[in-house]
Amino acid sequence: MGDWMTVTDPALSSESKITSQYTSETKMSPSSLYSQQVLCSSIPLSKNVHSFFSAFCTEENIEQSISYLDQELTTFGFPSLYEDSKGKETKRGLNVVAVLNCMNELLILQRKNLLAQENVETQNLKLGSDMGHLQNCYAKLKEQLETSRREMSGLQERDRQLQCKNRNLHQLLKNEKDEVQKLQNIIASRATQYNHDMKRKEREYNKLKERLHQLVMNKKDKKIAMEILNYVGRADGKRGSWRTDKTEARNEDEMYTILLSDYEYRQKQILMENAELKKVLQQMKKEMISLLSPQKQRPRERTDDNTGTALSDVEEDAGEMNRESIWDLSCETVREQLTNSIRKQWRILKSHVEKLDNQVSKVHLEGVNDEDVISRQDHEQETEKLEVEIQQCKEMIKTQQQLLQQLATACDDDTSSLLRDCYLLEEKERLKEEWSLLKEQKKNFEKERRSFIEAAIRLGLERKAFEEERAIWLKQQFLSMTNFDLQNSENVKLFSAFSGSSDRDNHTVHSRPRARKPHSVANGSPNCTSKLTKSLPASPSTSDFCQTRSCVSEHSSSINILNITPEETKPNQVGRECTNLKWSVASRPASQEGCYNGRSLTYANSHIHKDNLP
Amino acid sequence: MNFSEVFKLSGLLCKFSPNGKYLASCVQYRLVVRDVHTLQIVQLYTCLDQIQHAEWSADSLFILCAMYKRGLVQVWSLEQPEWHCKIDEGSAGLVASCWSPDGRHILNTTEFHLRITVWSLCTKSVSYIKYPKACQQGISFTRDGRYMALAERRDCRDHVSVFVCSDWQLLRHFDTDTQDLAGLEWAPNGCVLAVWDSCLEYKILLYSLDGRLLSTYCAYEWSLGIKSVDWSPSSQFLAIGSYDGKVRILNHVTWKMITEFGHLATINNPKIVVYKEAEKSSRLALGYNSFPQLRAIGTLPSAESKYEIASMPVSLQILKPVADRANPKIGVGTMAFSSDNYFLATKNDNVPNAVWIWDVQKMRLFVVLEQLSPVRSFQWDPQQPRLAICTGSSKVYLWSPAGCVSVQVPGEGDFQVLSLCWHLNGDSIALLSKDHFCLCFLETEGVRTTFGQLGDHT
Repeated sequence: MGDWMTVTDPALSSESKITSQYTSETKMSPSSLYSQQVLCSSIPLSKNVHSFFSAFCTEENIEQSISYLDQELTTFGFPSLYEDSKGKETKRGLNVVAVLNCMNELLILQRKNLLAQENVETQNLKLGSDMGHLQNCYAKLKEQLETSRREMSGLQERDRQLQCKNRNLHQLLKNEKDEVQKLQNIIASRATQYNHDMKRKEREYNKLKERLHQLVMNKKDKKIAMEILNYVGRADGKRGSWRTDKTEARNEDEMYTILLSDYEYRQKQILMENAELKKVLQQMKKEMISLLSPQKQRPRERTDDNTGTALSDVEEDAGEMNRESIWDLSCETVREQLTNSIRKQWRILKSHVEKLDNQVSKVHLEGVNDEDVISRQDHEQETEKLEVEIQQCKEMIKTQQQLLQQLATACDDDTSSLLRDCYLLEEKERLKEEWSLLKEQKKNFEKERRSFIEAAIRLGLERKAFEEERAIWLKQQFLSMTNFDLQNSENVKLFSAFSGSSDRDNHTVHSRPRARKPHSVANGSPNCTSKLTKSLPASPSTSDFCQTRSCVSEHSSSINILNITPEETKPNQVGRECTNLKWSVASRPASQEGCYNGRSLTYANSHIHKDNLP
Repeated sequence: MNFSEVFKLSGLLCKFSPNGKYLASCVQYRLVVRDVHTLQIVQLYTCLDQIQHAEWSADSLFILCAMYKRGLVQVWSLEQPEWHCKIDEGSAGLVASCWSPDGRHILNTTEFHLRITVWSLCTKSVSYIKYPKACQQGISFTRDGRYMALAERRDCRDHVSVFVCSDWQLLRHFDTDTQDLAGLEWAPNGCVLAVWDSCLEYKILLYSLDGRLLSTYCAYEWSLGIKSVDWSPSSQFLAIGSYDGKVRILNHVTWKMITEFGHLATINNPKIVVYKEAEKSSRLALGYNSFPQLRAIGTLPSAESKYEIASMPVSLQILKPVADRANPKIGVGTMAFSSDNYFLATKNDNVPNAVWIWDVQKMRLFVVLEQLSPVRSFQWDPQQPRLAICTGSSKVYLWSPAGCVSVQVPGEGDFQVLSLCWHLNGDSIALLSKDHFCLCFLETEGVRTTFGQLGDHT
């Protein structure tokens, strides 16, 4: 071993870091070295090991190192590195397989050790952190302890102070009590002194009084006298009697008689009171009996053991009732009987009432369980619900009323404007409808007009043809007639009549639309204007339109309906003017003018007016 | 309600005769006796000096007029105007004079309470009673007039002597366990004598006619005690008013307290009716208000007033007593049972404007009347539960269970009613002012019917 040490020394010296370690360790057994290696975890092992081994084995000491290793390994229980030397002390060859195995095992061991080391390290770390934590805890607890100690001391201090105070207060109380006692003593002493003084003073006063009395009364004061015209008789008419023992005795007697009479009077009163109370008791008892007897029957039926006592009760009561007269005598036994029986009855009544209560509660419980019977709670709940509903309804009605009122008054500008908007919208709609209606009417009118025009053209053509015919005819006549004058005059007549009729026809044909047109205008435009100004739905207008359109011949009546004027049989013109005048209040002058001017115009004009309206 | 004309009066001396026929009034040194119904002067007597006290004898035959300054008593007979009697106490002086119940003896108390002289009008005899005690109410006659109890002071102890009035014989003499007896009063039945101590100690003793001590009652100690005592007409209750502002009612069987009536300044019980007198805001009053300088002068003489039912809670005006003076204005100082025992009227001296009326049957407060000015005096109608109150104003107030009314006393000038007294049959009241008096007649028929109904109710 010593040899090995010298060899290893220089190698070890290079590793300055671990020198000391290994020097000390080499002295120990190789096992310890191994363990040492394991222990010194901080050293980067691979390099060290390598360097160590490189330093450990050199060319020169291979054998030695092998043998050493073998030795070491065998001591650790590894198989020998050398081949099994069957032969003698020949040189044993190195068993490579064994070496490799050993190496492998060593490596495995190394790995294991490394793992174990790691584990240990982590455990160490863990433990370290635990330690730290515990230390922290410890510090905290220490602090807490400190604070609580301080608190305790503070409290103790306070307690001490309070105790001190208490002691002081006790002292004060004691002092006060003493003071009170003292004062009371003083009061008492003063009182006694006062009384004493009073007595003394009174004595003096009495003495003085006595003296005064002597002085005043014994002087035979002539002044002290009674002047009286004549003595009057006593009120009772008797003469005054001398004071004797007899009178005294009589007075005593009288006094006692008075007292006696008073006591008698009081006794009578008390007796009367007693009698009345007894009467009340008796009545009560009777009533109780009558009240209880029907109830008593039932329990008797139910329970046989009660019958005997109950029966005896009844008998007893009956017996007592017979002895009613006895009650007038205030005898103790009777009184006892009465009170006892009353008590008994009372007890029965009480138990009965209790029973009834129990029954009621039972019934109540059953009632709750019973589904057919609506329980009181349900009833109450229902009624509550209904009440709430009623309340709600009432509130609703109220709010509605309020709203209605608001609507009616239209107090708010917003609401009124809103309402107006609503109304305008409605009107717009209605106007649109009317507009479409009017358009239709316009179309119809145009159609009519066209037909009229056509008819007129046709008429014109016919007329032309007719005139041509007539001309031809006249020509023929003129040419062929001999009786020219006579015929001519007739013709003229005829002609005039004919032409007149045709003219008239024409007129009527023309006047029809004309008469109708202004009328429709007169009816329509004011309606529109009225709608605008009044901002009210004018539903009759459309129907009027229809009316005016359809029944042209009934102008006057329709107008009259519109205007609701009493004059019915007025001519068209007048009626129309009348309406116009009436409407003029509300209608615009332009439209009116339009009406008047447009009488000869076509209704298209009125439509133009209307176009502006919406 | 009618009022008589106003008559002159001095010293508030105006008394109805016990038989109810006459009315005696004093004007300086003259004694005027009038017929109650016609108010015509029946007799007119002239005394030697200004009358300080006048009293009818029990049989309404004589009137005594005391002139304390001169130590003189003059007695007049109604039947014999020429009859006269003059009693001179001479140098002994005179401080009190009264009739004995038989109407034939006069008891004169000399100055310094040296003695009581009993003068007889029937005989020449004169009796003396020594050692009378100078106290609030030292003499009491039983209602039947048989006995007289007299408080005495001998050897610094209180004694009570009971005399037989017919011959002034001493019936009983006993000392009482009182420090300083202040008063004594017979129960109306004449069998129990209540004796109470001075205000320094609350103590009331009840003695039987034969001198036995029946009971002693003490409500509290170390405080001012009894201020007033009153028996109920039935002798059933004894009301004791004390300085603590309470009335204690004792019963006549056990002489224990039945109940305690506290006079609280705030009333908050809807069952209690509080009538508050209020000035009527009439045209006159409005005019009065418009002249503030007039307001400063004082009370308007003829401002009408009416009662209003105050709404709960009511707080009454309290007078703060001066603690450092004798006879402080606290405690129940005046009490009176109604003639039918049903009501008790009380006045607490530190609530001077109020009269409490208690229902004795139910033992609770019934009505409180709050006046505009301090109550001077009140008295029950001898026939009905009807209370007349005066406050020193020109009005008289009447309360009955049906309600209450304030009546202005008519007549020019201010008639300040300082005192009043009922006629025996309750149909008129004498209203007394400083130097006038008048009679107030109540409409008997209407009132009687209404009160009859109320009587049934009660």
